[in-house]
Amino acid sequence: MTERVREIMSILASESISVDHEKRKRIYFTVKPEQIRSICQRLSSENLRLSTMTAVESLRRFELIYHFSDDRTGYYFCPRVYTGLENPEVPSISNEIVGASWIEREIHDLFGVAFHGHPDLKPLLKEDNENIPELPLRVKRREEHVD
Amino acid sequence: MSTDFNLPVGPFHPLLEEAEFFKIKLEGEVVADIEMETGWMHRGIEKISEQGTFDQSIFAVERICGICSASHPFACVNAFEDIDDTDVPVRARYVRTMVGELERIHSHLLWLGLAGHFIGYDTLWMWAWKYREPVLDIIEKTTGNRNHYAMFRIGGVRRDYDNSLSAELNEKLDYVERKLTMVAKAAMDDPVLKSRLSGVGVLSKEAAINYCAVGPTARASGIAIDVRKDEPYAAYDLVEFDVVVQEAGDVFAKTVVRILEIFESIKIIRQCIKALAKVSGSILNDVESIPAGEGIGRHEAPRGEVFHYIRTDGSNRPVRHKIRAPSYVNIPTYKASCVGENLADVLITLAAVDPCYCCTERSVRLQDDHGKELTESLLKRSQDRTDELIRELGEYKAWRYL
Repeated sequence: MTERVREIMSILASESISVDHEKRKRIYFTVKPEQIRSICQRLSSENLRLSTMTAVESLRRFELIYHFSDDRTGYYFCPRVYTGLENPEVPSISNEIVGASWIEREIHDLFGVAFHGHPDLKPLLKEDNENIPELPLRVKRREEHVD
Repeated sequence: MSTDFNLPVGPFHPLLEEAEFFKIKLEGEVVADIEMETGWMHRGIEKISEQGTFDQSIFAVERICGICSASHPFACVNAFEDIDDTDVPVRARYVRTMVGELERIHSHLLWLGLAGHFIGYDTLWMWAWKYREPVLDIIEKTTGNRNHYAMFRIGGVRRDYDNSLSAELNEKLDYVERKLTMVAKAAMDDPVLKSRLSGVGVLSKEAAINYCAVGPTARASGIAIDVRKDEPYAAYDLVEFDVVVQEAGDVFAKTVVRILEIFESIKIIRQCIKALAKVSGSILNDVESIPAGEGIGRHEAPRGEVFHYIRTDGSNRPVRHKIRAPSYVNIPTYKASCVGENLADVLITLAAVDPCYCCTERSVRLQDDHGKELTESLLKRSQDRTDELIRELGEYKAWRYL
Protein backbone atom coordinates (compact mmCIF):
# COMPACT_ATOMS: atom_id res chain seq x y z
CA MET A 1 0.00 0.00 0.00
CA THR A 2 1.52 3.31 -1.02
CA GLU A 3 1.77 6.48 1.03
CA ARG A 4 -1.06 8.07 -0.97
CA VAL A 5 -3.45 5.18 -0.39
CA ARG A 6 -2.66 5.28 3.34
CA GLU A 7 -3.44 9.01 3.24
CA ILE A 8 -6.88 8.38 1.73
CA MET A 9 -7.50 5.57 4.21
CA SER A 10 -6.72 7.96 7.06
CA ILE A 11 -9.35 10.39 5.70
CA LEU A 12 -11.89 7.57 5.87
CA ALA A 13 -10.74 6.66 9.38
CA SER A 14 -11.16 10.29 10.48
CA GLU A 15 -14.83 10.02 9.43
CA SER A 16 -14.99 6.76 11.49
CA ILE A 17 -15.59 4.64 8.39
CA SER A 18 -14.34 1.07 8.48
CA VAL A 19 -13.46 -0.93 5.39
CA ASP A 20 -15.88 -3.76 4.44
CA HIS A 21 -13.40 -5.63 2.39
CA GLU A 22 -10.19 -4.93 0.56
CA LYS A 23 -8.82 -6.99 -2.27
CA ARG A 24 -5.89 -6.22 -4.50
CA LYS A 25 -6.55 -2.59 -5.46
CA ARG A 26 -10.27 -2.50 -4.61
CA ILE A 27 -11.47 -0.99 -1.34
CA TYR A 28 -15.17 -1.20 -0.47
CA PHE A 29 -16.69 0.56 2.55
CA THR A 30 -20.18 1.43 3.80
CA VAL A 31 -21.29 4.97 4.60
CA LYS A 32 -24.58 6.36 5.86
CA PRO A 33 -26.75 8.18 3.27
CA GLU A 34 -26.35 11.48 5.13
CA GLN A 35 -22.54 11.11 4.94
CA ILE A 36 -22.26 10.31 1.24
CA ARG A 37 -22.18 13.87 -0.03
CA SER A 38 -19.31 14.93 2.24
CA ILE A 39 -17.36 11.70 1.62
CA CYS A 40 -17.65 12.09 -2.16
CA GLN A 41 -16.55 15.70 -1.82
CA ARG A 42 -13.50 14.64 0.25
CA LEU A 43 -12.54 11.92 -2.24
CA SER A 44 -13.04 14.29 -5.17
CA SER A 45 -10.89 16.98 -3.54
CA GLU A 46 -8.13 14.33 -3.26
CA ASN A 47 -8.24 14.17 -7.10
CA LEU A 48 -10.12 10.90 -7.22
CA ARG A 49 -12.21 10.52 -10.37
CA LEU A 50 -15.82 9.35 -10.17
CA SER A 51 -15.89 6.53 -12.68
CA THR A 52 -19.54 5.63 -12.31
CA MET A 53 -22.18 4.46 -9.84
CA THR A 54 -23.83 1.05 -9.65
CA ALA A 55 -27.30 0.38 -8.30
CA VAL A 56 -27.94 -3.13 -6.98
CA GLU A 57 -31.30 -4.36 -5.78
CA SER A 58 -31.16 -7.21 -3.28
CA LEU A 59 -33.92 -8.98 -1.33
CA ARG A 60 -34.20 -6.60 1.62
CA ARG A 61 -32.43 -3.44 0.66
CA PHE A 62 -31.27 -1.24 -2.15
CA GLU A 63 -27.59 -0.57 -2.60
CA LEU A 64 -25.67 2.16 -4.41
CA ILE A 65 -21.95 1.83 -5.03
CA TYR A 66 -19.88 4.88 -5.99
CA HIS A 67 -16.73 3.92 -7.89
CA PHE A 68 -13.89 6.41 -7.34
CA SER A 69 -10.68 5.80 -9.26
CA ASP A 70 -7.32 6.96 -7.99
CA ASP A 71 -5.49 7.21 -11.29
CA ARG A 72 -2.11 7.76 -9.65
CA THR A 73 -2.12 4.39 -7.88
CA GLY A 74 -4.71 2.38 -9.85
CA TYR A 75 -6.82 1.89 -6.69
CA TYR A 76 -10.61 1.92 -6.68
CA PHE A 77 -12.34 3.36 -3.60
CA CYS A 78 -15.97 2.33 -3.50
CA PRO A 79 -18.28 3.80 -0.85
CA ARG A 80 -21.64 2.02 -0.56
CA VAL A 81 -24.93 3.43 0.59
CA TYR A 82 -27.92 1.30 1.60
CA THR A 83 -31.47 2.52 1.33
CA GLY A 84 -34.95 0.98 1.54
CA LEU A 85 -36.54 -0.95 -1.32
CA GLU A 86 -39.71 1.13 -1.25
CA ASN A 87 -39.05 4.65 -2.51
CA PRO A 88 -35.25 4.50 -2.42
CA GLU A 89 -33.66 7.92 -1.91
CA VAL A 90 -30.16 9.30 -1.38
CA PRO A 91 -28.63 12.79 -1.52
CA SER A 92 -27.39 13.85 -4.95
CA ILE A 93 -23.70 14.59 -5.51
CA SER A 94 -24.23 16.32 -8.89
CA ASN A 95 -23.71 19.79 -7.47
CA GLU A 96 -20.27 18.78 -6.21
CA ILE A 97 -19.27 16.57 -9.17
CA VAL A 98 -20.86 17.60 -12.48
CA GLY A 99 -19.98 14.24 -14.05
CA ALA A 100 -22.41 12.50 -11.67
CA SER A 101 -25.40 14.21 -13.24
CA TRP A 102 -25.99 11.77 -16.12
CA ILE A 103 -25.22 8.77 -13.87
CA GLU A 104 -27.86 9.83 -11.32
CA ARG A 105 -30.38 10.59 -14.04
CA GLU A 106 -29.89 7.10 -15.49
CA ILE A 107 -30.25 5.35 -12.11
CA HIS A 108 -33.38 7.39 -11.44
CA ASP A 109 -34.62 6.39 -14.88
CA LEU A 110 -33.97 2.65 -14.65
CA PHE A 111 -34.29 1.97 -10.90
CA GLY A 112 -36.44 4.85 -9.62
CA VAL A 113 -33.94 6.11 -7.04
CA ALA A 114 -34.67 9.70 -6.00
CA PHE A 115 -31.53 11.84 -5.76
CA HIS A 116 -32.28 14.79 -3.50
CA GLY A 117 -30.77 18.05 -4.64
CA HIS A 118 -30.16 17.01 -8.26
CA PRO A 119 -30.59 20.15 -10.39
CA ASP A 120 -32.66 18.45 -13.12
CA LEU A 121 -33.56 14.79 -12.52
CA LYS A 122 -35.27 14.19 -15.87
CA PRO A 123 -35.10 10.80 -17.63
CA LEU A 124 -31.85 10.12 -19.47
CA LEU A 125 -32.73 7.11 -21.60
CA LYS A 126 -36.49 6.83 -21.38
CA GLU A 127 -37.53 10.35 -22.31
CA ASP A 128 -40.32 10.15 -24.92
CA ASN A 129 -39.69 6.43 -25.32
CA GLU A 130 -42.83 4.49 -24.45
CA ASN A 131 -41.23 1.20 -25.57
CA ILE A 132 -39.11 0.99 -22.42
CA PRO A 133 -41.15 -0.37 -19.49
CA GLU A 134 -41.47 1.42 -16.15
CA LEU A 135 -38.30 1.01 -14.02
CA PRO A 136 -36.90 -1.72 -16.32
CA LEU A 137 -34.01 -2.82 -14.11
CA ARG A 138 -36.03 -3.29 -10.91
CA VAL A 139 -36.90 -6.85 -9.97
CA LYS A 140 -40.63 -7.43 -10.64
CA ARG A 141 -42.93 -6.10 -7.96
CA ARG A 142 -42.64 -8.10 -4.74
CA GLU A 143 -46.39 -8.78 -4.40
CA GLU A 144 -46.28 -10.79 -7.62
CA HIS A 145 -43.57 -13.00 -6.12
CA VAL A 146 -45.31 -13.58 -2.81
CA ASP A 147 -48.28 -15.59 -4.09
CA MET B 1 -36.63 41.39 -32.43
CA SER B 2 -35.02 38.71 -30.27
CA THR B 3 -31.86 37.14 -31.62
CA ASP B 4 -32.33 33.93 -29.56
CA PHE B 5 -32.75 30.85 -31.69
CA ASN B 6 -33.07 27.16 -30.85
CA LEU B 7 -31.52 24.82 -33.38
CA PRO B 8 -32.46 21.14 -33.19
CA VAL B 9 -29.70 18.79 -34.40
CA GLY B 10 -30.68 15.16 -34.81
CA PRO B 11 -31.88 12.69 -33.57
CA PHE B 12 -30.36 11.37 -36.77
CA HIS B 13 -27.02 13.07 -36.50
CA PRO B 14 -25.99 15.10 -39.50
CA LEU B 15 -22.37 13.98 -39.06
CA LEU B 16 -22.29 10.52 -37.52
CA GLU B 17 -24.93 7.94 -38.36
CA GLU B 18 -25.89 7.68 -34.72
CA ALA B 19 -29.00 8.66 -32.85
CA GLU B 20 -28.33 11.64 -30.57
CA PHE B 21 -30.35 14.76 -30.26
CA PHE B 22 -28.85 18.17 -29.50
CA LYS B 23 -30.82 21.28 -28.71
CA ILE B 24 -28.50 24.19 -29.43
CA LYS B 25 -29.56 27.57 -28.10
CA LEU B 26 -28.03 30.33 -30.14
CA GLU B 27 -27.53 34.02 -29.57
CA GLY B 28 -26.84 35.21 -33.07
CA GLU B 29 -24.25 32.70 -34.24
CA VAL B 30 -22.81 32.02 -30.81
CA VAL B 31 -23.86 28.97 -28.77
CA ALA B 32 -25.52 30.04 -25.49
CA ASP B 33 -26.41 26.55 -24.26
CA ILE B 34 -26.50 22.98 -25.48
CA GLU B 35 -28.79 20.21 -24.27
CA MET B 36 -28.44 16.57 -25.17
CA GLU B 37 -30.98 13.77 -25.29
CA THR B 38 -30.03 10.13 -25.66
CA GLY B 39 -31.75 6.79 -25.43
CA TRP B 40 -32.58 5.90 -29.02
CA MET B 41 -29.94 3.15 -29.04
CA HIS B 42 -30.78 1.68 -25.63
CA ARG B 43 -30.90 -2.10 -25.91
CA GLY B 44 -30.79 -3.11 -22.24
CA ILE B 45 -27.47 -4.95 -22.59
CA GLU B 46 -26.92 -4.95 -18.80
CA LYS B 47 -30.21 -6.80 -18.37
CA ILE B 48 -29.41 -9.19 -21.23
CA SER B 49 -26.05 -9.96 -19.62
CA GLU B 50 -27.65 -10.66 -16.23
CA GLN B 51 -30.00 -13.18 -17.85
CA GLY B 52 -27.23 -15.18 -19.55
CA THR B 53 -24.32 -17.30 -18.36
CA PHE B 54 -20.83 -15.82 -17.94
CA ASP B 55 -19.74 -16.79 -21.46
CA GLN B 56 -22.95 -15.33 -22.86
CA SER B 57 -22.21 -12.06 -21.00
CA ILE B 58 -18.95 -11.73 -22.89
CA PHE B 59 -20.77 -12.47 -26.15
CA ALA B 60 -23.42 -9.82 -25.36
CA VAL B 61 -21.00 -7.05 -24.37
CA GLU B 62 -18.94 -7.60 -27.51
CA ARG B 63 -22.00 -6.40 -29.40
CA ILE B 64 -22.32 -3.08 -27.57
CA CYS B 65 -20.20 -1.52 -30.28
CA GLY B 66 -18.71 -2.60 -33.57
CA ILE B 67 -15.63 -0.42 -33.28
CA CYS B 68 -14.93 -1.21 -29.62
CA SER B 69 -15.66 -4.89 -30.05
CA ALA B 70 -12.49 -5.87 -28.15
CA SER B 71 -12.81 -3.20 -25.45
CA HIS B 72 -15.98 -4.36 -23.72
CA PRO B 73 -15.10 -8.08 -23.58
CA PHE B 74 -11.58 -7.06 -22.45
CA ALA B 75 -12.96 -5.11 -19.47
CA CYS B 76 -15.60 -7.79 -18.87
CA VAL B 77 -13.08 -10.66 -18.54
CA ASN B 78 -10.89 -8.40 -16.38
CA ALA B 79 -13.89 -7.97 -14.03
CA PHE B 80 -14.59 -11.73 -13.90
CA GLU B 81 -10.90 -12.42 -13.25
CA ASP B 82 -10.86 -9.73 -10.54
CA ILE B 83 -13.50 -11.67 -8.55
CA ASP B 84 -11.33 -14.74 -8.04
CA ASP B 85 -7.84 -13.36 -8.83
CA THR B 86 -7.66 -15.69 -11.85
CA ASP B 87 -4.20 -16.08 -13.36
CA VAL B 88 -3.95 -15.55 -17.10
CA PRO B 89 -1.11 -17.30 -19.02
CA VAL B 90 1.57 -14.90 -20.28
CA ARG B 91 1.02 -15.87 -23.91
CA ALA B 92 -2.69 -15.05 -23.63
CA ARG B 93 -1.81 -11.71 -22.00
CA TYR B 94 0.31 -10.77 -25.02
CA VAL B 95 -2.41 -11.84 -27.47
CA ARG B 96 -4.97 -9.73 -25.58
CA THR B 97 -2.66 -6.71 -25.65
CA MET B 98 -2.07 -7.11 -29.35
CA VAL B 99 -5.80 -7.25 -30.15
CA GLY B 100 -6.47 -4.21 -27.94
CA GLU B 101 -3.79 -2.15 -29.68
CA LEU B 102 -4.80 -3.17 -33.21
CA GLU B 103 -8.28 -2.00 -32.35
CA ARG B 104 -6.94 1.34 -31.11
CA ILE B 105 -5.11 1.96 -34.41
CA HIS B 106 -8.10 1.24 -36.62
CA SER B 107 -10.46 3.19 -34.37
CA HIS B 108 -8.21 6.28 -34.29
CA LEU B 109 -7.77 6.11 -38.08
CA LEU B 110 -11.52 5.89 -38.50
CA TRP B 111 -11.94 9.02 -36.40
CA LEU B 112 -9.13 10.86 -38.17
CA GLY B 113 -10.73 10.17 -41.54
CA LEU B 114 -14.15 11.30 -40.33
CA ALA B 115 -12.72 14.45 -38.72
CA GLY B 116 -11.01 15.31 -42.03
CA HIS B 117 -14.27 14.69 -43.89
CA PHE B 118 -16.31 16.89 -41.52
CA ILE B 119 -14.11 19.90 -42.13
CA GLY B 120 -13.91 19.34 -45.87
CA TYR B 121 -10.43 17.80 -46.00
CA ASP B 122 -11.49 14.71 -47.93
CA THR B 123 -7.96 13.73 -48.92
CA LEU B 124 -7.21 13.06 -45.25
CA TRP B 125 -10.40 11.03 -45.01
CA MET B 126 -9.47 8.84 -47.98
CA TRP B 127 -5.86 8.36 -46.83
CA ALA B 128 -6.80 7.51 -43.26
CA TRP B 129 -9.39 4.96 -44.35
CA LYS B 130 -7.13 3.56 -47.05
CA TYR B 131 -4.38 2.81 -44.56
CA ARG B 132 -6.92 1.51 -42.05
CA GLU B 133 -7.55 -1.42 -44.41
CA PRO B 134 -4.15 -3.12 -43.93
CA VAL B 135 -4.69 -2.79 -40.15
CA LEU B 136 -8.03 -4.57 -40.51
CA ASP B 137 -6.27 -7.19 -42.65
CA ILE B 138 -3.83 -7.82 -39.79
CA ILE B 139 -6.75 -8.12 -37.38
CA GLU B 140 -8.51 -10.57 -39.72
CA LYS B 141 -5.35 -12.64 -40.10
CA THR B 142 -4.72 -12.87 -36.36
CA THR B 143 -8.28 -13.23 -35.04
CA GLY B 144 -10.31 -14.46 -38.02
CA ASN B 145 -12.62 -11.42 -38.12
CA ARG B 146 -12.48 -7.74 -38.99
CA ASN B 147 -14.91 -6.90 -36.17
CA HIS B 148 -16.32 -8.92 -33.28
CA TYR B 149 -13.12 -10.88 -32.82
CA ALA B 150 -14.53 -13.28 -30.18
CA MET B 151 -11.02 -13.66 -28.75
CA PHE B 152 -11.72 -13.18 -25.05
CA ARG B 153 -12.47 -15.91 -22.54
CA ILE B 154 -12.29 -15.89 -18.76
CA GLY B 155 -8.75 -17.06 -17.98
CA GLY B 156 -7.24 -16.50 -21.42
CA VAL B 157 -8.02 -16.19 -25.10
CA ARG B 158 -10.02 -18.37 -27.47
CA ARG B 159 -7.48 -18.61 -30.30
CA ASP B 160 -3.71 -18.71 -30.29
CA TYR B 161 -1.53 -16.37 -32.31
CA ASP B 162 0.09 -18.10 -35.27
CA ASN B 163 3.83 -17.31 -35.06
CA SER B 164 4.28 -18.06 -38.77
CA LEU B 165 2.36 -14.83 -39.51
CA SER B 166 4.99 -12.64 -37.83
CA ALA B 167 7.12 -11.87 -40.91
CA GLU B 168 4.07 -10.84 -42.95
CA LEU B 169 2.62 -8.82 -40.07
CA ASN B 170 5.90 -6.99 -39.47
CA GLU B 171 6.04 -6.14 -43.16
CA LYS B 172 2.47 -4.80 -43.08
CA LEU B 173 3.21 -2.81 -39.91
CA ASP B 174 6.27 -1.25 -41.59
CA TYR B 175 4.09 -0.27 -44.54
CA VAL B 176 1.35 1.15 -42.30
CA GLU B 177 3.86 3.09 -40.21
CA ARG B 178 5.55 4.55 -43.28
CA LYS B 179 2.24 5.65 -44.79
CA LEU B 180 0.86 6.96 -41.51
CA THR B 181 3.96 9.06 -40.97
CA MET B 182 2.99 10.79 -44.20
CA VAL B 183 -0.67 11.11 -43.10
CA ALA B 184 0.40 12.42 -39.68
CA LYS B 185 2.47 15.13 -41.33
CA ALA B 186 -0.42 15.97 -43.66
CA ALA B 187 -2.61 16.50 -40.61
CA MET B 188 -0.31 17.95 -37.95
CA ASP B 189 1.81 20.21 -40.17
CA ASP B 190 -0.98 21.50 -42.37
CA PRO B 191 -1.31 25.24 -41.71
CA VAL B 192 -4.97 25.36 -42.80
CA LEU B 193 -5.95 22.44 -40.57
CA LYS B 194 -4.01 23.92 -37.69
CA SER B 195 -5.67 27.31 -37.95
CA ARG B 196 -9.11 25.67 -38.44
CA LEU B 197 -8.85 23.48 -35.33
CA SER B 198 -6.59 25.38 -32.91
CA GLY B 199 -8.46 27.17 -30.16
CA VAL B 200 -11.74 25.54 -31.26
CA GLY B 201 -13.92 23.67 -28.73
CA VAL B 202 -11.52 24.10 -25.83
CA LEU B 203 -12.14 21.81 -22.86
CA SER B 204 -10.22 23.22 -19.92
CA LYS B 205 -8.38 20.92 -17.52
CA GLU B 206 -10.72 21.93 -14.65
CA ALA B 207 -13.83 21.17 -16.74
CA ALA B 208 -12.39 17.82 -17.87
CA ILE B 209 -11.79 16.87 -14.22
CA ASN B 210 -15.23 18.05 -13.13
CA TYR B 211 -16.97 16.14 -15.93
CA CYS B 212 -14.81 13.04 -15.11
CA ALA B 213 -13.64 12.85 -18.76
CA VAL B 214 -11.44 9.94 -19.82
CA GLY B 215 -9.21 8.84 -22.69
CA PRO B 216 -7.92 11.17 -25.43
CA THR B 217 -10.57 13.74 -24.41
CA ALA B 218 -8.90 14.05 -20.97
CA ARG B 219 -5.34 13.58 -22.23
CA ALA B 220 -5.75 16.44 -24.73
CA SER B 221 -6.65 18.68 -21.76
CA GLY B 222 -3.46 17.91 -19.88
CA ILE B 223 -4.71 15.05 -17.67
CA ALA B 224 -2.24 12.17 -17.86
CA ILE B 225 -4.58 9.25 -17.19
CA ASP B 226 -4.31 5.93 -18.96
CA VAL B 227 -5.48 2.65 -17.41
CA ARG B 228 -2.69 0.80 -19.22
CA LYS B 229 -0.14 2.71 -17.12
CA ASP B 230 -2.18 3.44 -13.99
CA GLU B 231 -3.19 -0.14 -13.29
CA PRO B 232 -1.41 -2.37 -15.84
CA TYR B 233 -3.34 -5.46 -16.92
CA ALA B 234 -2.80 -8.02 -19.72
CA ALA B 235 0.82 -7.50 -20.88
CA TYR B 236 0.93 -3.71 -20.52
CA ASP B 237 3.46 -4.03 -17.68
CA LEU B 238 5.71 -6.06 -19.99
CA VAL B 239 5.86 -3.60 -22.91
CA GLU B 240 7.23 -0.10 -23.23
CA PHE B 241 5.14 2.82 -24.41
CA ASP B 242 4.46 6.46 -23.62
CA VAL B 243 1.22 8.15 -22.62
CA VAL B 244 0.55 11.01 -25.06
CA VAL B 245 -0.59 14.21 -23.34
CA GLN B 246 -1.35 17.64 -24.80
CA GLU B 247 -2.21 20.76 -22.83
CA ALA B 248 -4.34 22.92 -25.15
CA GLY B 249 -7.68 21.03 -24.81
CA ASP B 250 -8.88 22.12 -28.28
CA VAL B 251 -9.87 19.95 -31.24
CA PHE B 252 -6.34 20.15 -32.68
CA ALA B 253 -4.88 18.79 -29.41
CA LYS B 254 -7.34 15.87 -29.51
CA THR B 255 -6.27 15.18 -33.11
CA VAL B 256 -2.56 15.22 -32.18
CA VAL B 257 -3.13 12.89 -29.19
CA ARG B 258 -4.89 10.32 -31.35
CA ILE B 259 -2.32 10.48 -34.16
CA LEU B 260 0.63 10.04 -31.79
CA GLU B 261 -1.15 7.21 -29.96
CA ILE B 262 -1.30 5.27 -33.23
CA PHE B 263 2.50 5.17 -33.32
CA GLU B 264 2.68 4.09 -29.66
CA SER B 265 0.26 1.26 -30.50
CA ILE B 266 2.43 0.13 -33.43
CA LYS B 267 5.38 0.10 -31.00
CA ILE B 268 3.43 -2.11 -28.57
CA ILE B 269 2.28 -4.54 -31.30
CA ARG B 270 5.87 -4.98 -32.51
CA GLN B 271 6.95 -5.83 -28.94
CA CYS B 272 4.07 -8.32 -28.63
CA ILE B 273 5.02 -10.08 -31.90
CA LYS B 274 8.61 -10.31 -30.71
CA ALA B 275 7.62 -11.67 -27.30
CA LEU B 276 5.12 -14.18 -28.73
CA ALA B 277 7.96 -15.76 -30.72
CA LYS B 278 9.67 -16.61 -27.42
CA VAL B 279 6.79 -17.18 -25.01
CA SER B 280 5.20 -20.57 -25.45
CA GLY B 281 2.68 -22.49 -23.39
CA SER B 282 -1.03 -22.49 -22.78
CA ILE B 283 -3.38 -19.68 -23.82
CA LEU B 284 -6.12 -20.57 -21.36
CA ASN B 285 -6.39 -21.19 -17.66
CA ASP B 286 -9.72 -23.01 -17.79
CA VAL B 287 -12.00 -21.59 -15.11
CA GLU B 288 -14.71 -24.02 -14.06
CA SER B 289 -16.69 -21.80 -11.73
CA ILE B 290 -16.68 -18.30 -10.31
CA PRO B 291 -17.32 -17.88 -6.58
CA ALA B 292 -19.65 -15.33 -5.03
CA GLY B 293 -18.05 -11.90 -4.98
CA GLU B 294 -17.66 -8.62 -6.81
CA GLY B 295 -15.12 -7.48 -9.33
CA ILE B 296 -14.12 -4.36 -11.22
CA GLY B 297 -12.58 -4.69 -14.67
CA ARG B 298 -11.43 -1.91 -16.92
CA HIS B 299 -9.62 -1.39 -20.17
CA GLU B 300 -8.21 1.66 -21.90
CA ALA B 301 -10.37 1.59 -25.02
CA PRO B 302 -9.60 3.93 -27.97
CA ARG B 303 -12.06 6.45 -26.46
CA GLY B 304 -10.98 6.03 -22.83
CA GLU B 305 -11.60 3.86 -19.80
CA VAL B 306 -14.27 1.16 -20.22
CA PHE B 307 -15.57 0.15 -16.80
CA HIS B 308 -17.35 -3.11 -15.88
CA TYR B 309 -18.60 -4.02 -12.41
CA ILE B 310 -19.81 -7.57 -11.93
CA ARG B 311 -21.35 -9.16 -8.84
CA THR B 312 -21.77 -12.91 -8.62
CA ASP B 313 -23.52 -15.21 -6.14
CA GLY B 314 -21.75 -18.49 -6.88
CA SER B 315 -24.17 -19.45 -9.68
CA ASN B 316 -23.30 -19.41 -13.38
CA ARG B 317 -24.64 -15.94 -14.15
CA PRO B 318 -23.98 -12.41 -12.91
CA VAL B 319 -26.36 -10.93 -10.34
CA ARG B 320 -25.46 -7.42 -11.46
CA HIS B 321 -23.42 -6.29 -14.44
CA LYS B 322 -22.78 -2.56 -14.64
CA ILE B 323 -21.18 -1.20 -17.80
CA ARG B 324 -19.85 2.32 -18.35
CA ALA B 325 -18.49 3.16 -21.78
CA PRO B 326 -16.10 6.13 -22.20
CA SER B 327 -18.47 8.14 -24.41
CA TYR B 328 -20.93 8.19 -21.50
CA VAL B 329 -18.65 10.52 -19.53
CA ASN B 330 -17.09 12.26 -22.54
CA ILE B 331 -20.31 13.36 -24.27
CA PRO B 332 -21.50 15.62 -21.38
CA THR B 333 -18.27 17.65 -21.78
CA TYR B 334 -19.99 19.26 -24.78
CA LYS B 335 -21.63 21.61 -22.32
CA ALA B 336 -18.18 22.91 -21.37
CA SER B 337 -16.56 22.89 -24.81
CA CYS B 338 -19.38 24.16 -27.06
CA VAL B 339 -20.87 27.06 -25.09
CA GLY B 340 -19.41 30.35 -26.38
CA GLU B 341 -18.31 28.76 -29.66
CA ASN B 342 -19.44 29.82 -33.10
CA LEU B 343 -22.12 27.54 -34.60
CA ALA B 344 -19.79 26.58 -37.46
CA ASP B 345 -17.34 25.13 -34.93
CA VAL B 346 -19.90 23.14 -32.98
CA LEU B 347 -20.14 20.10 -35.22
CA ILE B 348 -16.39 19.39 -35.32
CA THR B 349 -16.32 19.95 -31.53
CA LEU B 350 -19.11 17.38 -31.15
CA ALA B 351 -17.16 14.95 -33.32
CA ALA B 352 -13.88 15.62 -31.48
CA VAL B 353 -14.66 13.40 -28.49
CA ASP B 354 -15.11 10.55 -30.99
CA PRO B 355 -18.62 9.48 -30.06
CA CYS B 356 -18.84 5.86 -31.01
CA TYR B 357 -20.75 4.34 -33.94
CA CYS B 358 -20.73 0.96 -35.62
CA CYS B 359 -18.75 0.40 -38.74
CA THR B 360 -18.74 -2.98 -40.33
CA GLU B 361 -18.79 -1.99 -43.96
CA ARG B 362 -16.34 -3.94 -45.97
CA SER B 363 -14.51 -2.34 -48.85
CA VAL B 364 -11.44 -4.27 -49.79
CA ARG B 365 -9.82 -5.18 -53.11
CA LEU B 366 -9.72 -8.89 -53.79
CA GLN B 367 -6.86 -10.15 -55.94
CA ASP B 368 -5.77 -13.63 -56.87
CA ASP B 369 -2.16 -14.86 -56.53
CA HIS B 370 -1.23 -13.17 -59.81
CA GLY B 371 -2.62 -9.78 -58.82
CA LYS B 372 -5.77 -10.13 -60.96
CA GLU B 373 -8.84 -8.29 -59.66
CA LEU B 374 -11.52 -10.67 -58.42
CA THR B 375 -14.12 -8.13 -57.35
CA GLU B 376 -15.94 -8.06 -60.69
CA SER B 377 -16.40 -11.80 -60.80
CA LEU B 378 -17.34 -12.01 -57.11
CA LEU B 379 -21.03 -12.62 -57.71
CA LYS B 380 -20.31 -15.29 -60.30
CA ARG B 381 -17.82 -16.98 -57.95
CA SER B 382 -20.42 -16.99 -55.21
CA GLN B 383 -23.05 -18.52 -57.54
CA ASP B 384 -20.55 -21.13 -58.80
CA ARG B 385 -19.72 -22.08 -55.23
CA THR B 386 -23.44 -22.48 -54.38
CA ASP B 387 -23.97 -24.68 -57.47
CA GLU B 388 -20.96 -26.76 -56.49
CA LEU B 389 -22.34 -27.29 -52.98
CA ILE B 390 -25.74 -28.32 -54.36
CA ARG B 391 -24.05 -30.86 -56.64
CA GLU B 392 -21.98 -32.23 -53.71
CA LEU B 393 -24.61 -32.33 -50.98
CA GLY B 394 -27.97 -32.30 -52.75
CA GLU B 395 -30.31 -29.33 -52.59
CA TYR B 396 -31.87 -29.99 -49.14
CA LYS B 397 -28.55 -30.42 -47.31
CA ALA B 398 -26.88 -27.59 -49.23
CA TRP B 399 -29.50 -25.02 -48.22
CA ARG B 400 -29.38 -26.21 -44.60
CA TYR B 401 -25.60 -25.85 -44.73
CA LEU B 402 -25.81 -22.37 -46.21
